[in-house]
Amino acid sequence: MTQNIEYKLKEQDRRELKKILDQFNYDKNNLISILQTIQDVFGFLPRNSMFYLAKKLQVPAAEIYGVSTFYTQFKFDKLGKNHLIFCDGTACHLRNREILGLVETLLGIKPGETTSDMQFSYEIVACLGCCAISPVCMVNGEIYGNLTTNKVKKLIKKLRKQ
Amino acid sequence: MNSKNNSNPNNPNNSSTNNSNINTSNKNNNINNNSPKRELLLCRGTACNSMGAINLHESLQNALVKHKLIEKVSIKLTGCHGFCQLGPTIIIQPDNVLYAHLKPSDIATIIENHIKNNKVVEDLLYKDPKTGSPIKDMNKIAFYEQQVPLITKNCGKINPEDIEEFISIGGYDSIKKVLTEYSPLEVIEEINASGLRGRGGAGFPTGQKWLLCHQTKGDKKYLICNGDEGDPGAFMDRTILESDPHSVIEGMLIAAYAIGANEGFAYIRAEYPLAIKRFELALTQAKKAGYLGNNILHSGFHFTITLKKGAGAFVCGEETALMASIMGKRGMPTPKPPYPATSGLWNKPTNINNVKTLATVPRIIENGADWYRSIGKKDAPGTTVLALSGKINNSGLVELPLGTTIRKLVFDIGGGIPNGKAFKGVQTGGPSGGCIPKQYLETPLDYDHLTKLGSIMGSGGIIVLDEDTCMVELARYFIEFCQNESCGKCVPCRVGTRRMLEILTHITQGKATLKDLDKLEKLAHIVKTSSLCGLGQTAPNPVLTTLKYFRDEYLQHIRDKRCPALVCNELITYYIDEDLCIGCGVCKTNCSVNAIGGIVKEPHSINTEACIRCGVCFESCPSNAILKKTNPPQGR
Ligand SMILES: Cc1cc2nc3c(=O)[nH]c(=O)nc-3n(C[C@H](O)[C@H](O)[C@H](O)COP(=O)(O)O)c2cc1C
Ligand code: FES
Repeated sequence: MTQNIEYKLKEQDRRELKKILDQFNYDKNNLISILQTIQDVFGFLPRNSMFYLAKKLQVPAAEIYGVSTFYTQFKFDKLGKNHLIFCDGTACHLRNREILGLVETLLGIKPGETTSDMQFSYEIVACLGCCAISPVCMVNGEIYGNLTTNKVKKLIKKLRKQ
Repeated sequence: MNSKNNSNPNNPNNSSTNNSNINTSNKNNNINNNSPKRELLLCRGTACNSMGAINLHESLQNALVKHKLIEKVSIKLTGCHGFCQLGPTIIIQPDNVLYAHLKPSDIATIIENHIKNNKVVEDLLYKDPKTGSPIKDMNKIAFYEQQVPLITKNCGKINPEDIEEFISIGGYDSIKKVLTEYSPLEVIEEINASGLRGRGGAGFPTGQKWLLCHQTKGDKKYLICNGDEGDPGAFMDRTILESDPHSVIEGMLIAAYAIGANEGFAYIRAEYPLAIKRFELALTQAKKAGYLGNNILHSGFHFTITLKKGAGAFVCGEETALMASIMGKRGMPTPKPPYPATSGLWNKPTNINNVKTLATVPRIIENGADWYRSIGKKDAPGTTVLALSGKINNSGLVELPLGTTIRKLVFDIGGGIPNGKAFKGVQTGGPSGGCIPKQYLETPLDYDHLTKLGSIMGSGGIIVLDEDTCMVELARYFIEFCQNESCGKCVPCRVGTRRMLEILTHITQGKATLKDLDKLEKLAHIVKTSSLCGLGQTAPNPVLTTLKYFRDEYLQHIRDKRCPALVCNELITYYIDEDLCIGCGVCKTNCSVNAIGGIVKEPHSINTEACIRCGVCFESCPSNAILKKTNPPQGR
């Protein structure tokens, strides 16, 4: 949470937020789409952006915070350079035990955390919808299937080098 | 490449995976191809993309230019045709030949042999997992042979990013027919007569639902397409949205016309970026072509669709929660009644249907209710799209008439269980469903039969379980999922699932007593009967069905501290078989807690005190010398 509290909106950020609000007609029914777009732009939801929205949309900041914490998609901290999402849906779960253990060991973090050098964020979700090629992970938006511990090792090594 | 399929020693092509000696000389491989124009269908679904379809496309384009074949051969980028596990694939038409597991380097071979010399490249064909022999005609592949593609009729056949292709095969004809020949009530009658039941889980008759909404008075009505597909192990809706988005739009148009809605929403989960992209593109194209917007096809009917992205909450698949989410709120369900048909989005009459339900609608209009009734079962007509995965040889998307038996699905279409393991059962309906054991193999897959067994049809995810699956751990897994996804509004679901999870966790750790088992069972019934929405009401199903059919496994965990499937960490130990160990040291290097000792070329050993049972050594040992064991069963 620390980075987020420190994050001050800059003039340019405010302009960006205004553009997003314009796009969605300052309509609070579009709150989720607005938050999604903010996250697309900033990579996470800066705490101050939520205060800004509260003022502009005339809804309590608590309500905006309530909505954004309800949905797992929203992040309140900056993510690492590489966003690793490992699937633990049913099909993957039957096969990924060793893999999830390995990722934790290799990165030295637990799901939901980011490495201190900001290289990797690691997350676990339930089903990426590619169960036919399980176990599956998504790295920076791209799907990798039929994972083995060996493949995961190589993948993380490759990402480290980039 | 193909190494899995090539394992049969009788297969003459076994040794030749190298391009230079690929077997193409067999004279039976010649194709009689008089029509010089060929079409290469390249699947560009999420799964094939991830396995290299993008590179393949590039190589293919370059090769066609290089060999000056552009005139004779066209490339068609399609959506998924279901057999994702074979990806990336190319299907050559009109020859009906499917090449699987392709690498860019295989393209040259295919061009040289198949395209230029009309010779099928056997080594790149799909091989029957039972006999090892390559299959030339893709319709003869067991996975496809028994399917009845109705909802998925266009999937893998057309380019989902091109509305013209959809129109050229009769797309949007059904909405034309409806707008010119049918009154809204006549549409509802037709759908009612077809017996179509919702494919989103509950199986409510679609015609009746539409009628309710049609009859509710209101100046404004809404139609919603539910593409949230949050249950793990399901990918039917993603595939349809990615491969044939226009069929869904056409279904939405017909539904909207029937109930009298002018505004629609498609709610698609954010985890499906390709589905969102293709659906968005389809919306733009449909609008441009005059199928969406004002005065559609000069009929006076207006309809617009807005795409809403889900934000990662399973409960938002539930209709009242989904509507809250569309209105920008926390996705919390509300008690029913009022039903959406009377008071839904912004308190207006609203109709919600699943992606598959809507994609079926144009087919019924096209072919008639009687035709639809002739497929499937009397009380449940039509087909069901199933996502087959787990411990199964052929995983992917299959479409079958309702009432097909589990045996046919698992052993004929699915090709049985891999690695010679024993079949244990199937899990249907995701976290809301249950586990059906192997003695019910002959059960027909339909709403009523599955409900009778304590499971549900659900939206169509089928996970096959083998002897290595621990049923207690699986029940724990599903309860953990539901506990995580519980919105927290009602006590039985919020607190009940948490208590159930605690007990189940204790059982998997060997820390529970028989009393806990009673408590678990009691709690399960309370949560099932007193939760507010479908999430809580169905969450105990995996626990109740495993207790019913696999009680002995629970007892073994509790009494003998034993996990017979060798899954539960606290109840197993890893050890090295000295006779099998070659002393390569791979395990030692990979162990993160230095629990493995030994010198090179000598058998190694595991210090069980230090071992955290992460299983990495087990997976990486090249000679399979690392084994698992659990406590022996006690005599009783
Ligand atoms: C917890 C929960 C999750 C659900 N998830 C979905 C879903 O992902 N997709 C879906 O179509 N229906 C889902 N449903 C069912 C919907 O509430 C609703 O019944 C369905 O969309 C109606 O469409 P149909 O009549 O075409 O089946 C879910 C229900 C519950 C209780
Ligand atoms: S279970 Fe992992 S992709 Fe579906």
